[in-house]
Amino acid sequence: MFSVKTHIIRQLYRDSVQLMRAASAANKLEGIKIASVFMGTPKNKSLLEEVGLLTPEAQNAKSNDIIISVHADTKSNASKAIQYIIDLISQEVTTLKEVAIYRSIRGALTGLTDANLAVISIPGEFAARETRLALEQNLNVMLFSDNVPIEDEIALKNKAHEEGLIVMGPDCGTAMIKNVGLGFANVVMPGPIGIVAASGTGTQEVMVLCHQRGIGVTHAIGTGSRDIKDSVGGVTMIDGLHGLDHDPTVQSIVIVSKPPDNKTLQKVLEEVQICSKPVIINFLGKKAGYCDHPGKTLTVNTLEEVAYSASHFIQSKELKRISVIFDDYEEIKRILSKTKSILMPEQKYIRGLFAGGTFTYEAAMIISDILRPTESLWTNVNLGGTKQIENPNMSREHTLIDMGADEFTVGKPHPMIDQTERTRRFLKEIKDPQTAVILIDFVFGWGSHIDPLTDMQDAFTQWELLDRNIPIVTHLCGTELDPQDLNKSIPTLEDLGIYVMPTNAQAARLAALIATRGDLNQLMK
Amino acid sequence: MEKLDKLLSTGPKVLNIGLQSFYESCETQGIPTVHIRWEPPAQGNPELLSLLDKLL
Repeated sequence: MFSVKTHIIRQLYRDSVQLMRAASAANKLEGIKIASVFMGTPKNKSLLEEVGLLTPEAQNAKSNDIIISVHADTKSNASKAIQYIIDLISQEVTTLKEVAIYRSIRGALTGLTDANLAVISIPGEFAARETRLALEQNLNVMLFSDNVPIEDEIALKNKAHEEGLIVMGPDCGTAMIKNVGLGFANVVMPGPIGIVAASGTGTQEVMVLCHQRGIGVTHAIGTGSRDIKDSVGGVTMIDGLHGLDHDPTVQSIVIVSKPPDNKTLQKVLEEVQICSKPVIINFLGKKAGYCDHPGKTLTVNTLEEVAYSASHFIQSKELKRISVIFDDYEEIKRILSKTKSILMPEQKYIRGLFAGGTFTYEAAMIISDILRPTESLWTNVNLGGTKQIENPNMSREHTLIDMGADEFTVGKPHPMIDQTERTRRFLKEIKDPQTAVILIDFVFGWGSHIDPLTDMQDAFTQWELLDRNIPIVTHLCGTELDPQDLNKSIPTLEDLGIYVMPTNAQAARLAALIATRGDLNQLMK
Repeated sequence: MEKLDKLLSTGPKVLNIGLQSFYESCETQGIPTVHIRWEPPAQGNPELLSLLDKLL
């Protein structure tokens, strides 16, 4: 008999990472089905209501109250988990080395008088107000918060534009300014590439792949995912583009995004034409060739092509689409020969469990091109050529799931910072006799889990003990300079027999070939 | 665009409002940063906050 218990801590504020850390620890306790810890904002309460956990106590909580909600096998285990969370939150000791405590933007400006950027990551209901206050103090803004109303986004971006400032976001997870990573960003060498992007993990993939080719990145301006809607008009994308064009350290500009709405697309392409530097454009899902002008602009199809073409340009000054299918064909032949011999006939399907939203989207794009017309690919991302899965908790046929999507992260940590949900799903997929291959990504860098592989160690151990073989294909979006250290992580996975691919695109291609028992020749036509 | 251009040429000097972990990663990267210990204003009541903003 399951028990749901709620506890409210009045008048105590903790940020969402601190709360999720407590929830994540509680989720590992005995008998806990789900433990969640939220601030009692209206948005959080409506999310709780959607999943049927909005008890009368939670309903009455205010934005500066903490709601603890635990679903456990017994009342006793639920009570224990609540007390455990209370203790963790109470113990949360600040590590700030600050000599002064600031509580407002104006106050903080007395401590850093020449500040030029506000990084804002507070509940969305309050984020527009703080952004407006920051702009009034002549600060550029990186707005990490989501759930900011679109009318506020439009007003804030227009105000910033009039003042010569920029608002990156809302929902901007990744940025880099003068090689300093902000939010979720990898540690890469400084260099001549400037990125403007409406995609966090897309930006990370491009910066990582350029770095691995010996080419550094100076800036990455995140726009937030709605900037490319006609109602917003690409204000941040266009201002960011010109900012990169003005900066003498940038030699080539890269744009990464889903395709903008029509009017914004035209506007962005017009602005690209007046840039003085070569611009490489990847509107994921839009077939390359729509804006190619020798020496000035180049369109490409994948994140991999962006990075390979940009690196090629810096090295040779030749603006040319660099396409590869795999970096190492002999290795792929060896893998395919092995997997064909070990898979059982009923093992037919790819199961992709992603942390990166753009990685899911790009993999879906690539895999749907490789599958036979009779085969269906189910996803929870909105992409033509794939089918929208009704229940994202239940795979069917070939399935790719963005586990960072809202339906998986309501009150639970994102898979970039905690693997609990992905581990559960992984264990479910390896028990399915129809699973032919698991496709999984890991995103390293600032902000991400410090040791995601260890977080999944139990799952990998169970996978090793299976009485049949299910190949795992992965891609690590990271560098040797990241806190997680790519060079240590790759051998750890390879020693387990996991196939580690150099790009998300190549991981997707390999998974598709394994599941379909295909061969390289079909991709080389 | 001049303030954006200046940000790109001089590098970020950050006021961090919200996640403490973002402040810590700025500190680790050695850039000038201060952290604002933000809490929902007006006791977390958006209506009251909107009223206060109009009055001030």
